[in-house]
Amino acid sequence: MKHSFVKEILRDFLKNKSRFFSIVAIVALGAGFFGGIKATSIDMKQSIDDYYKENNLMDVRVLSTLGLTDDDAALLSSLDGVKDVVGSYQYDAIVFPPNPEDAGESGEHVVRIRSITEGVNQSVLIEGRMPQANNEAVLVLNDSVPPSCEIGDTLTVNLQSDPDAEESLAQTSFLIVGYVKNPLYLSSLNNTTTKGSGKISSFLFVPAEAFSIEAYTEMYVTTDFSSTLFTFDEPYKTKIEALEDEIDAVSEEACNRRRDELIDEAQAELDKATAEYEDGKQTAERELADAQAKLDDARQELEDGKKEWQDGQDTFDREIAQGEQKLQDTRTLLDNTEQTLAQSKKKLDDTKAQLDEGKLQLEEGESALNAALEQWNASKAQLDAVYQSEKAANRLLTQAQAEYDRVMAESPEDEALVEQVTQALQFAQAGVSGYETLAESKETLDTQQKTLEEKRTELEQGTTQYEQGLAQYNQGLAQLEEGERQYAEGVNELAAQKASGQAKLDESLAQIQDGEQELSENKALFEEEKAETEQKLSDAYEELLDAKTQIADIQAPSWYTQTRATDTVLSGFEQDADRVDAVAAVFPVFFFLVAALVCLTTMTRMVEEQRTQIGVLKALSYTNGAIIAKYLIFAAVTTLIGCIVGLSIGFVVFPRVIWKAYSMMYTTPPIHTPFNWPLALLASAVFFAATMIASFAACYKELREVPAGLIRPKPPKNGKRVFLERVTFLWRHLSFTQKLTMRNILRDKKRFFMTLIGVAGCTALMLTGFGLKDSISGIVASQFDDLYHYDLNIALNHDYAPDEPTERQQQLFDLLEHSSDVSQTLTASQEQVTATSKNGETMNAYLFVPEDSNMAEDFITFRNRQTNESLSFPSSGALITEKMAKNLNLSVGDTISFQMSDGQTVSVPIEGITENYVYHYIYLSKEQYHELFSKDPSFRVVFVQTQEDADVNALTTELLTNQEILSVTQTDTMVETFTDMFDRLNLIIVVLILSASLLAFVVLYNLTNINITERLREIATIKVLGFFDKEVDIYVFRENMILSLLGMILGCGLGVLLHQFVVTVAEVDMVMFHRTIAFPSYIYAILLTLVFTLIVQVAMHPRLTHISMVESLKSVE
Amino acid sequence: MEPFITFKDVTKTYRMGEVDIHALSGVNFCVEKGEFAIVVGPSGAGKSTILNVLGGMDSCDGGTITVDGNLVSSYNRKQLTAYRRSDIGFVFQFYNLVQNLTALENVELASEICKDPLDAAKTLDMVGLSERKGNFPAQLSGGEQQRVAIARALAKNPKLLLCDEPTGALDYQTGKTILKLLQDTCRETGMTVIVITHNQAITGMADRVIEVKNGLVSSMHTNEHPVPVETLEW
Repeated sequence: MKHSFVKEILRDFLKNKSRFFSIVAIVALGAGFFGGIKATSIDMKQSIDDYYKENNLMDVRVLSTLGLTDDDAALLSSLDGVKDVVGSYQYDAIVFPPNPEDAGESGEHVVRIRSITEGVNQSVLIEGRMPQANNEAVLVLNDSVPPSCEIGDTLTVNLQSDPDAEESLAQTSFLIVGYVKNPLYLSSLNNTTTKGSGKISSFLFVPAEAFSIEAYTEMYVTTDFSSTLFTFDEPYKTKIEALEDEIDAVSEEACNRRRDELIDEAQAELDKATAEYEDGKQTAERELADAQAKLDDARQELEDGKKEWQDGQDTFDREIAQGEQKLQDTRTLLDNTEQTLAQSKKKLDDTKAQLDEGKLQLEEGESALNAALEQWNASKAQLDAVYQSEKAANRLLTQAQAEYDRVMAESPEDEALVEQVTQALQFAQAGVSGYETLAESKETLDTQQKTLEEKRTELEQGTTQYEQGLAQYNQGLAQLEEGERQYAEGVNELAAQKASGQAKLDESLAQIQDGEQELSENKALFEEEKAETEQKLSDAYEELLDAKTQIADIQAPSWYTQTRATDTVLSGFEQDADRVDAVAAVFPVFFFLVAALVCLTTMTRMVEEQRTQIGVLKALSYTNGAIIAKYLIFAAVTTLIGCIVGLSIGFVVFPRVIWKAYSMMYTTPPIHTPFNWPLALLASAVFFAATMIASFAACYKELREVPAGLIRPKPPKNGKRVFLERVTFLWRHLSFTQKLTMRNILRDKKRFFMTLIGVAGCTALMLTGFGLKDSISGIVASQFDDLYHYDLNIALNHDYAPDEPTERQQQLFDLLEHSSDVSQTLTASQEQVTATSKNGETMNAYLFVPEDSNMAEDFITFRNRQTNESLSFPSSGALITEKMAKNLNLSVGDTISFQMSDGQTVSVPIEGITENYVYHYIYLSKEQYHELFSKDPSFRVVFVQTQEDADVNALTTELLTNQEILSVTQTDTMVETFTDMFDRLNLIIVVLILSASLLAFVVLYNLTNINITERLREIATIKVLGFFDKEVDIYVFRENMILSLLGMILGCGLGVLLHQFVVTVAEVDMVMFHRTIAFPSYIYAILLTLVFTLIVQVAMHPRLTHISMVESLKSVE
Repeated sequence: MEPFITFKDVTKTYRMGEVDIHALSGVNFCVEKGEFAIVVGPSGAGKSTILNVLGGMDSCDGGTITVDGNLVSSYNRKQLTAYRRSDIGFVFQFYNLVQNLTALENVELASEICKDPLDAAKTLDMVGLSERKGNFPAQLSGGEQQRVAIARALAKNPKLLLCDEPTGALDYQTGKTILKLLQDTCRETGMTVIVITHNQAITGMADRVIEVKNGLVSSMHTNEHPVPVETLEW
């Protein structure tokens, strides 16, 4: 090649810097994106494989339900391909939280303790040191979670919550001496346990000597081929499968041997225990009998005492009664005497009164008599004074009488004389009668005198009698008083006797009562002891029975093998890596397409600009080849530089970013990002091809012209009417600049498509990114909020028969029924089956049979996703989940056939297809199941709905104490797990969106750049015409905006398709992503694209203002 | 009375790498209102620079430019744009029509941005293109395109019509008709027209001839009796 030609090419680079950079940028972006994402999957797998090889991860892990022994190890070692077999111990212990405040909600802290194994599953020390003593431990560090305890902390097993620990662990307290990473723990996802809160908070490695478990809990098998084969490749997987089959083949023998061993051991132990029990029982019975006899004696003694007391009491009572009677008699006598005395007294008193009255009367009579005597004497004296004596009076009278008679006879007519004589007579008569009266009075007085005398005598007699009576009375009174005194004495004496006797009796009664009290206490004590002993004995007996049944129940253990591939975490990891790869297959297509278009337009423009030069070169008889070579070299060099830059960055950035995203989920080793030559060559080749073809296509057209034509300025492209002008109504409403824009847009097809594809691609990528986020993050809410309505999922150890539950099951259901936290429960059967499509495709699914079909709808919503129409639980036929229906190409009315784990295959018509996102289910009614299999389904799952304010963690802990429960899964935990899993994809989405943005930027920048250089004259002209800067901007950019808008609309459509595709590719088999993109995502995608369009315009604005108007004066080149 | 256009000691220096090129080194001239002036000179004499600074596409380094009493030489970017927009009509050597607009639309493109434009269609009638209004530039001959360009300049109703080698890309006859059109426009509308050309032969038709050489006005004279275009020969 000529010297000047080389120079010319070099100058081209300098002259076309912006062109150079656009191609470099788009190629770098495309190649970097493609290579980087493609390499990510490879790097991810490679790094993990390296990590496994470096630390010698086991190839197969053998677990047994009853532990493994050295015999098993020997057996495994003898298998083909096995290099080494190492036994290991594992125990989940409840420990005291190192920091009480972060003990977790339930306050329980469960750690998984594993023994350190030499030569296999080696830990990588990150900080501190490895354990040296048996009570030292290292903590497995998780990249995304801060360690739950620090180096120097001591974890102590809570023996109260975890009494089994003493049996399994020789050490119950561990000092954390270091942090490690271990290939066994690629993820902390699988951290459920049946203990405590059900969640493991830390993983420890301790020396094997810290365990006191008799058999290994698991065996790590390493192979001789794992160091040479790639873990994720088929050869390795095939070989491992073969090894698994071999292990399977020998497992039966080993398991039977293990069972026999265990039965022998247990039987010996049982025999010993039985003997011990019998001994104990005899001793206890003897002791009890002794105690009973003693009690009986005491009772007898007490009874005797009581009888004695009763006798004493009786005698006492009788004697007291007698005494009392006597006293009573005395009293009566005394009272009678007293009464008699009183009567006598009264009589005496009467007599005294009579006597006193008689005496008084007598004295009155005497004084009256004396007075009468005196009067008489006085009267006599008076008479005597008048009459002198009686005889004198009598003579007087006889004289007076005689005189009177004479007078009467003599002189009756002389009245005075008569009067005199009558008076004298009367006088005489009065004297005589006076004397007569005196005599009479004298007689009366004498009689009276005599009577008085008589009375006196009488009175004197009465007085004597009275005095005699009084003396008698006084004597009686004295006797009474004596009697009274004696009585009082008797009363006192009796009272004293009674008091002292009663006291004595009471005392003995109290003693008896005390005795009784003591006796009853002793008796109660005895009863208690007896009951206790009996309980103990019966417990012991039951235990023996249990042990017997347990021994009878000892089944041959089963072996489980886990390979690297069946490890859910690793297979999850592999799927993740494959998903990244699948995404890498689609996305870079856009970048590639756009890169080719950018290259085509850029080169075309370059060729067009240099048209004259080409003409000159051609005229100077340079060959077409040489001229094309110039452009091809330009394109090749730019592509090469772009590829080198892009791949160097892409190979490092993309794997690291995505690895970083995954390391939130996996405890990953550092990623190795080697420069992947095959990929680099592939990517470069593809981009070379694209740019070369584009450049060639650009040159070819020009080179067909003759030199003369080339030297002449290229006739400007004709203005053309566009279809829009036919729509005159619309066209008329456009301004000239708008019309111009329309015509410009449609004039250059290449640019039109480049912009459209670039912007559409950008929008589509962003929409896909946002849409993926919608699809993925939405399903958790859809599945666990909209479709599933339970909070706990309890797995049982044994089948549950509603009619005859086991005791523990009954306890469980009682607990659930009575718990205030639980609102309702549903028992169901959930068996793993293999469903088959018509053309033989298979997939794993769960056969779900609720115990009560009516209740199923309370726990799971069955509905059609598209129409939202709810489906009822089928009484006949099956309801299947959507993803399964789609994968197996089944629809309503078809029959689905599936194979049970025991090999039985059945077919059921499909009644409905229900919305579901996680796992696959076939729903059957109990009756249908019975019809198909002629047996009841094995109900082993209990779904629990809790009350609004229930403490689910506490409930879980409470439930886990029931040994019937295999596991309790909280829906919240599931939600967390899935959310975590899906969150990983967010960073990838960010990468996607960023790449898309870069793409948009490069395309739009490039386009605008070309647009401006191509229309330099036009822009200069309108500037001369007096367009302001802003008007110039609008004049130029409106085109971009419209194309961008068109691109966005197209991009939304494309994005929906791309999203559909990516969702199908990226979706894991067990999960169905949302198929629709949420509305805001469209907005985000469009807005972001718009923002980039605007950024480009802002960036381009200075270029427009700096266009010199002098350009307009230049001739067309 | 002050002349319509005055250039006084106008200088302009371009810097091309290490070398300073003095495009104008003190230009002085004036043009009266309504005159048909021709600036003539050999290539590189500085006539395009005069056009640039007079047309507001570039600013001068020294001296003063006055147009219709306004000191254009002191205008800033924005004022210059406004000045170009309302006061100047430009006719380019290569027409500079927008290919994607029809003849009428090209005229309207200019008239649309002015305050007081002439009717676009009438302007086209005026330049004799009534029949070709709907055609795209590519469908027009060179002369027709230049007529459209003149119509575009006139439609703005400017104070000053600047023409840069308007006949440069045209054949003899067409060139003549274009010059005639310009002269007629000047005569009929009283618009000041300045034509820049290297063709000495057409100076006869001008009211005023300004000769430029090496960045200076070498001579300026007025024709008392400008000859009609038809009589010019070159």
